[in-house]
Parts: sequence; C-alpha cells; structure tokens
Amino acid sequence: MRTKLCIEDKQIIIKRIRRTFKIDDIEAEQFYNEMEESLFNKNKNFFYSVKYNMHFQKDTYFSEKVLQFAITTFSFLLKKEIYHSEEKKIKNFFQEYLKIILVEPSTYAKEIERRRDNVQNILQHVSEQLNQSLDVQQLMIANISHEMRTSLNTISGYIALIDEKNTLDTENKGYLEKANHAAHTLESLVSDILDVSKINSGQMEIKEESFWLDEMIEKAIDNITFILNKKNLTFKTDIEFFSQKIIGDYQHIMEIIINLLSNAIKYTDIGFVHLKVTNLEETDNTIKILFEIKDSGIGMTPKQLKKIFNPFSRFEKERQGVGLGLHIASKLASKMGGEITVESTADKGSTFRFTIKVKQDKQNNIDMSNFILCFLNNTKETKVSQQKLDFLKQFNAKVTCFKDEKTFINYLTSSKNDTPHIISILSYQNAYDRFNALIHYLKTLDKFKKSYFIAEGINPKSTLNYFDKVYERFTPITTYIQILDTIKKSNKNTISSNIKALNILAVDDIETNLEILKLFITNKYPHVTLDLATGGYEAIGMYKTQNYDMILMDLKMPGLSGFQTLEKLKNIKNPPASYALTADVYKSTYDQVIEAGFIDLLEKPLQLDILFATIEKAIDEKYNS
Amino acid sequence: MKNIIHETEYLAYVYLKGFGFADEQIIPLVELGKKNLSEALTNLKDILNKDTYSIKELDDALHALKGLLLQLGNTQLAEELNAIRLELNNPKTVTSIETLLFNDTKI
Amino acid sequence: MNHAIITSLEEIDSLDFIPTLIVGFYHYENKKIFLELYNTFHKHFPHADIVGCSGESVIYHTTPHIDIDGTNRCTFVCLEMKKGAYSLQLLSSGEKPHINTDKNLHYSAIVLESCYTNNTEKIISLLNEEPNINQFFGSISGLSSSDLNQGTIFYNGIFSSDKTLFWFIDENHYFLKGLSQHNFNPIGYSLEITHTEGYKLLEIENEPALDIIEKMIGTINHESLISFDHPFFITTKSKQNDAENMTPLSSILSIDREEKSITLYKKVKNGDKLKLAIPFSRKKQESQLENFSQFYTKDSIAFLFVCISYRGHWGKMEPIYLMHLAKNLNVPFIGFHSLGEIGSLTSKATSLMQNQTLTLAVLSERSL
Repeated sequence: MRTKLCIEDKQIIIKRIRRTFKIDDIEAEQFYNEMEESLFNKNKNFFYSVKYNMHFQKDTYFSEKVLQFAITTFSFLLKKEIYHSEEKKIKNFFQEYLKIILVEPSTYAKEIERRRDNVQNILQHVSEQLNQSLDVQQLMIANISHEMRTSLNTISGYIALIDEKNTLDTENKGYLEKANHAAHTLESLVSDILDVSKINSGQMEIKEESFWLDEMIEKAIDNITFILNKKNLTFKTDIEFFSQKIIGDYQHIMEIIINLLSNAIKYTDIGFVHLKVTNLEETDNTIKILFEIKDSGIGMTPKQLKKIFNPFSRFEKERQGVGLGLHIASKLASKMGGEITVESTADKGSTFRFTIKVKQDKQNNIDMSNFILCFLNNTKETKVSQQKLDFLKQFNAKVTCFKDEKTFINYLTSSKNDTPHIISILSYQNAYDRFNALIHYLKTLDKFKKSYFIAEGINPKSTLNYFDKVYERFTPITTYIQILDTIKKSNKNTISSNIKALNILAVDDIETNLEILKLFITNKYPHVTLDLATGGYEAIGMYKTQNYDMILMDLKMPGLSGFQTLEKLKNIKNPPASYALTADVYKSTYDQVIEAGFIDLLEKPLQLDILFATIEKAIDEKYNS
Repeated sequence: MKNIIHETEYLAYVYLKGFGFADEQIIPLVELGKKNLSEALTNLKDILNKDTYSIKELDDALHALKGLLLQLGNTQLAEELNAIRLELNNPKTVTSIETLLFNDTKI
Repeated sequence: MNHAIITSLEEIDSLDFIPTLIVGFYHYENKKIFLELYNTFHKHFPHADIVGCSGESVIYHTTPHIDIDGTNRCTFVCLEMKKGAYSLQLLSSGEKPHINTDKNLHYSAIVLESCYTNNTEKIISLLNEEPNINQFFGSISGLSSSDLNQGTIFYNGIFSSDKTLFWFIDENHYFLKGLSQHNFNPIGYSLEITHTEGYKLLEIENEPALDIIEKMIGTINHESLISFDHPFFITTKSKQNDAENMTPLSSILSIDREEKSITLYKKVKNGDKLKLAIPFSRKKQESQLENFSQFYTKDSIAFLFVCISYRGHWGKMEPIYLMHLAKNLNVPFIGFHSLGEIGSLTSKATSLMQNQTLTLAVLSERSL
C-alpha cells in the first residue's frame, strides 16, 4: 500500500506550493509533508493547519490560493496513472479538504451573520426602550420642574410681599434679599435639570436682552455668598467698569459665572478664590469679555482635566452636586458663541476662563438730571470708582466726591448744600460703625428723609442697619438707576394720590370675574368706585342712575351681549370710555368692538399693567382735559 | 369635575397670593370662584347630556368656562379647552371634554 | 514537574517517570473505555491517584484538539507531583459542604462536580471564604443537555454521579493560575427578577419573564435556544455593587410558552438582577484568546473547561480557535466541554459558577 507520493511528484508539488504561497523551501516542504501525512494516514491535521492559516491570514487572496492549489494538485494527481489505485483515497482527501477549508468557514460565516442579525435586533429593541425611557424621563423632569417652579414662585411671592410692606430694617432686608437669592438659586437648580434635558433634546433657547454686567456679576456673587461664608477663604474681585449695557442671555451667562464660582469654592478648602472680569476687546458694537475664576484648591490631574466637561464628572463624591454644572456651562457657553477653558495643577489650584463676545447696547434712556449723588472714597481703590463717577456725570447727574471723611461730613451736615438723593460711602472697615451712627442721626433730619445711603466694600458680618443698601464689593450701576427710578415714581404717586375718585362700571355675567377685577383695581386705586353688574339689564339699571367715567364690559354674556348692552346704553346717554373684555381675541373681534363704539379691547386674563394704564388714562382724561 | 375645582382652587389661591393680597381678601374670592366654576361645569355637563345641542351653545359654555379659568389662574386648562373649541365639529370632542373635565378617577 | 499526556493504551508504555497523580477526562457515555484505561494505569502505577470527570466531549492536546471523528477517546495527564503536596477529597451532594485542609498551609484547588446541585454554590462560597484557599477553578461535568444529572466524576476506581471532587494543591510546591473568559457585553437596563422557582424565571419586573425578554430580543426560537444565543448577566443581590466585568453569565436551558417562563442552567433568586448580553466582535474574541499567553510558564500543564455554549458559538471553527489558544498559551492542555465552569473573570475577582466561558487553569511547579 502506498504511503508516499513519488519523489518527482513531491518536488513538483513542493515547487507549486512555494510558488502559490510564496514561502521558502523549508516551509513548503513542511506543508507538503503534512499534506502527504493526511492523504495517506487519514490524519486531518493538514486540513486544520490550512484552515487556521486561512482564518488568521492577513493576505486577502490566501483563500483563492488555497483553492487554486487544491484544484491544480488534485487534477495533477488524478491524471497520473501510478496513483490510479489511490484514486478513491485522493478523491476523498480533496473532498474532505474542500469541506473543511471552504464549506465549514462558509457555514460559520452564515452563523456569524445570523448572530449579527440577532444582535441588531436586540440593539434596536433596547434602543427603542431607552428612547421611550428618555422621553418619559424628560416629561417627568419637565413636570416635576414645573411643580417645583410653582412652589418657588410662591416662596418668591411671599418674599416680595414682605419686602413690599417695607417694615424691615436694613439688616433684615439684607437677609430677605439673601432668602430671595436662595429661592432663585433653587430655581436655577431646577433650571439646570431642565437645561440638561433641553440640551439633550436640542431645545435650548438663547435669549438676547439688554443688561448691566456689573449688576449681573453682583447677583452672581450674591448667589454664592452663602456657600462662600461657610468656608474660610479669601474672596477677591477685580472687575472692570463697563460703561454700556450689553446684549446677551443674562440668565445663562450668570448661570455660567455662578457655576464656575461655586465649583471654585467647592473644591478649595484653604486659600482663595478670585474673580476677574476684563474687557478683552472692544469695537463700536461689540465687546469681548473675559471672566477668570482662579482658586487655590485641589486642582486636577491631566487625566481629570480631560473629562472635566463631561456630564457627571465629579472628582470627589463628598463634594456636593451631581456633576452637571460644568457640562451645562460649557454647552451653554458654546451655544452663545463663547468658550470655557481651564488650566490646573493638582494640589495647586485651577483657573477657569470664560470668554464671550456680545453686542453693546448703546441705547441708554437714562436721565439723571436733577439728581444729586454724593460719594466718599477714602480708600486706595480709585480706578473703578472714577470710571463710575464719570459714567454718572455723563447722564447729567450732579456728582460730588470726597476723599476726606471730615469734609464729607461737613458737606452733609451743612444746610447750605442741596440734599443728595444718594450718598455712597467706600471706606475702611473700622470706619463704618461711625458712619452707621452718623446716618442714624442724619435720618432723623427732615432733609434726609428721602435720601438713600449706600455702603460699599463692607465686611459681611457688619451690622449697618441704618444704611439702605450695603455691598460687600461694589455698587452696581443698576442700583443707582433703580433708586433714582423709585424716587421718580414716588414723586409721581404723590401727584396721583391727590386726584379725585373715578367711577367705573364693570359688567360680566360671572361674579368671580367681577370680584377679581374689583380686588385688583381697588387695591391699586383705593379712590376708585367700582360698580358691578352681572348682566346687561343690571348694567342698564345702574347706568340710568349713576354717572360713570369708564365702563368695562364682558362681550359674551347670556341674555344681552356686551355689544347689545352698549347699544342700549348709548340710547340712554352718551357712554363714557367703554372697554370690551373678552377671552377670545381675534382680529375680527377687534374690528367688531371698534365698530360697536368701544374704545378698545382688553384681553382676559387681564394684564394688570394694561388695565392700570387704561385707568390712568381715564383719570388723566377726567382731570386734565 | 371635583378634580378640576380642587385644582383650580389651589391655583387661584397661589395666583392671587402672588399679587400680594391678604388671605382675608383671597379666600372669599376663591370660594366664589369655586361656586361659579361648579355652575359653569354643571351647565356644560347639562348641555353635553342633552339629546341635541347646537355648536354655539357648547361654544358659549366653553368660552365662559375658559374666561373664568383664566381669571382664576388656571391658564393651562383654559388653553386646553380653547384647543378643544377649535374642533367642535369633531365627534371625539365630547370625549375629550369629558376626559378633561369630568374624569375624577385620574390623580 | 514531570508530566505526560496519554490518549491511548500504547502511550502508557512510553512514560519515563512514575506518576503520582493521573487526571483523565472522558465522554459521558464512555465510562467503559475510561475504566479499562484506569485498570491499565492502576496495574502499572498502583500507588498513583487516578481521578477523572466526564464531559460532553473531550478536548485533546493535539490538533485538531476536538473529537472530529466521534471516537470518544479519553485523555489523561500523568503528573509526578510530590506526595503530600496535594490532597484529594470527595464530598457527597447530601453532605454539608466542608473541606479538609491544613489551616497552616495555602492551597489552590481544582473542583470537579458531577452535576449542579444545591451544594454547588455553597461549595464555591465556602472556598471563597476560606482564608487558606487562594485560586480555584473547576467545572460541572458535561453531558447531553437533555439530562442534566448523568454526569460523573471518577475517583480511584469509582464513578459517582452525586459527588464533588476537590484536588487541593499545596502552594508551597505548586500553584495554579488561570482565568474564565466569555465573549459578551451587557446591554440595556438592569431588570429585577421578581419571581423565581429555583432555575426557573417566572417574572421579571413583575411581568411574565418570557414576555419581557422577547420584547427586547425578539422571539426565542429553537435554533437560538440550541445555539445558546441569549445568555443573561445575572447579578445576585449581594454583588450588585460589583463592576460589570465581574458579573457571570447564565445560559437558557429551555422556555415554556404556556407558563411564560425561562429555565436557566443555574439557580436564581428573587431580587437578583438580569441584563441582556450581546456577543463581542470576532476580532475581540480572537484577541481574548491571545491574552492567554500571559499564563505561559515552563514545564506546566493546563486544564481547559469550555462551556458547551462557548463551543457552540465557535461551531466548526472550534479546532481553529483551540489551535490559536494553543499557539498563544504554549502549554500542553487537556479538557472537556462542560455545563458550567468555576473560575474568576479577572485576576482579582472571586471564583463563580458561570456559563458561556472558557476557563483555563495552569498548574506549575514552584521553582526553588
């Protein structure tokens, strides 16, 4: 029984192997020996050896070569008469060869494809499930946030109520302001959650509004005062004076500053946190602002730095927060065309830089003519103060400045000088108690009854209860503007309160609507008489016996409609200014209303400012025409 | 119906409180609001229970309800009702109204 | 340590050392031939301990490594281990789990179980808790999955279908190192198993188990069952804080459409968590096999316990993958296809009973 091929054939096949597979003589001979062993001894090792090479071979044409070799060697051997007796063996061998090295991998490939389809199927289902879950989550977040916001509005409402009563001293007013800020902070947290939800779903809106940067910064700092006070850190600010309002997304920019400051405080146990705000570049219309927050905190390693803006990247679980802040901040910055960068060294501290380019709002309707402001600054900080004074003078304010305490006091106490509307003091810490006592005295004098006293750069632990406003750092421009606005308004109110009463007839078939109207109007205008009629006929009855200065009429009423009622009133006597009230406002409604003889249409629910403006107009017409 | 009244009562209280009115002013007003709301809802229900009613009748009832809800600070429900008013010709409207206003099983 | 692998009677005569311990693996239906070989070994080496375990099929040390011709040959490894440097213990399934070791010594262990019983998890916990047991690996004897209780272990002449064999190895002289590896990634949410009966999942997240699973993976047909396409990552309550890469897999044994239940190869409890699994890419699977090169130690011998499902995923390509493993490991091995493997998924993790793995244990002698 043959156990080998003949030598010549062996050499031919080895040559063929070498040529086909581009291997050397030794490898080719080894290949041949394995093949011969398998051919004659029914040993299958050769097949698996080839199959292994095919599977792990990087040469993409290897399978082709394997097949080519098989076919050529097979036909070569079969043609030779000397192997005639081994024909069956040779055929079986090559059948097995093809089965193992070609058919089996093909079956395996099909199996792989089947498994791959399974995987796709699973991935699709899981993905759908995750999306559904995400939708539910988003809805839940939105709903919960809405509920939380409602409660927060209530808290803010009560705080506003207490504030309006104006019965608190400065210190308690300060606490109230802090409580208000805290409520707003909580609202911000709720917003955070909503923000992430919106960011993830691509619904984040960037608003554009005009605001003073220093006021925003002051608010941002106020927001973090509570957490700052819990730690023994030095907090310094170096804020340039910006003489124009900027146009940008107030809320989001403040959110970013608050976030960066909060993080700096959170991750700093000893040392400092510094906030620096710089005007990097200014053109006619735009300004590039840099907010730099530097701390001496725990810092970050290069590995941590890489992930700093990823969501939920919190470095120490003991530190509060879920790790969304920086992620949101960076997304927001990017959405607003800005950028947040960071430098950090572990155990030494970090510096976060937020830059943003915004438009400047050159439209200033500020008019400070006839307003007198008096400043004392006997400290070394003069640059920003001077810029502020120049700014105020720009709007025609009469500004007097003192560097010397004695001269300042003499000025105030002298009867010769006009009483300043605003008196602002920036001095050394130990001087404020004296000034507090001084203001206590000054406020007993008639001439200072309407003046506002402001202290800047005070120690937060000081009790300066006679100052009207106290600031740890600087007074924002908006404070002066708001105070002066308040003064203007109170002057106007004094005029308003002298005017005589107004008679109003309100007609609506629903009592609640009438009572709510009454509540709002009489609260604001205690001298207004408001008669309520629950229908057209009742209104006519009242109208016959009274003279009214104004009519507020619901349009849709059972029985006589608003239109029909007015028509009937006209038949009695010329009606006064009559306003239609309706919840359905279309253009056609407005046309109908004017055609019917109403002056205007007020939409339900009533916007108070519109309602009050309407009443003011009526008052004005009654007493000034 | 009870759910709607209860919900509106709460919203009205918060809404009016937000303006700084005292409880003595708000509470009687909210009670009146509940009474008017109950009447408006009952009126609407009566219309829906009739064998035949006109679209105008239904629209007027919804309009009155909407106005009241707006005054009481329940803006969301008012807006939902307004949306329904745009589809009064749709046979499913009645179901929408009933689900929205008279389904006391939902929490 | 002298060692030799024997797969036929003729090879016994070529042994040039006196083995003290002989470990053999056999096809579960081939006890007769195994016993014959045992008798020959025992005649030649009367003082040697001879132990064994049955498998669904045997894994050999030479290409193609599996029994392609259906000859059901047995395979043995003969070891010249120092007497006293190892011990063997047999534990009945009815006995309370305990081990007999010298508390002053440290051991590695190989654990061979004839079948998965109530004691299996207890034994594994016991070994994990024992301070003087370090690494341990092992397997549940493999057999036709239609009858889970017909596997056997062999101990010095006796087959047992309800026992556990412990092979404790004194680490002063020898050591075991190894790893269990599977080819799946978890995907989707963790689902809570809310109602079970032993091996059966009745409810997941309070819904019928089969419904929940089929909602996510599509209909489980016969082909996917016999191909073990859908194992689950099962985390017990106590291990729910462990990293994901330490969670074991469990294969589906069967489903019941009427009852809407899923039966697994191992027991689960209420409160356990389940996650779906999807297979790695082929490339990653191959690179995993290459990782076994880290276990190469000169003059070592290895034991391979390959889950029948793992073999199933390879299909006709199994010889190729075993050849790839062999090339990278470079240590002779024998093994079998099993119904459950005992091993650790990382070098630092504890050993667990799991499915769908290739578990390798390399035995080496400590150099002096």
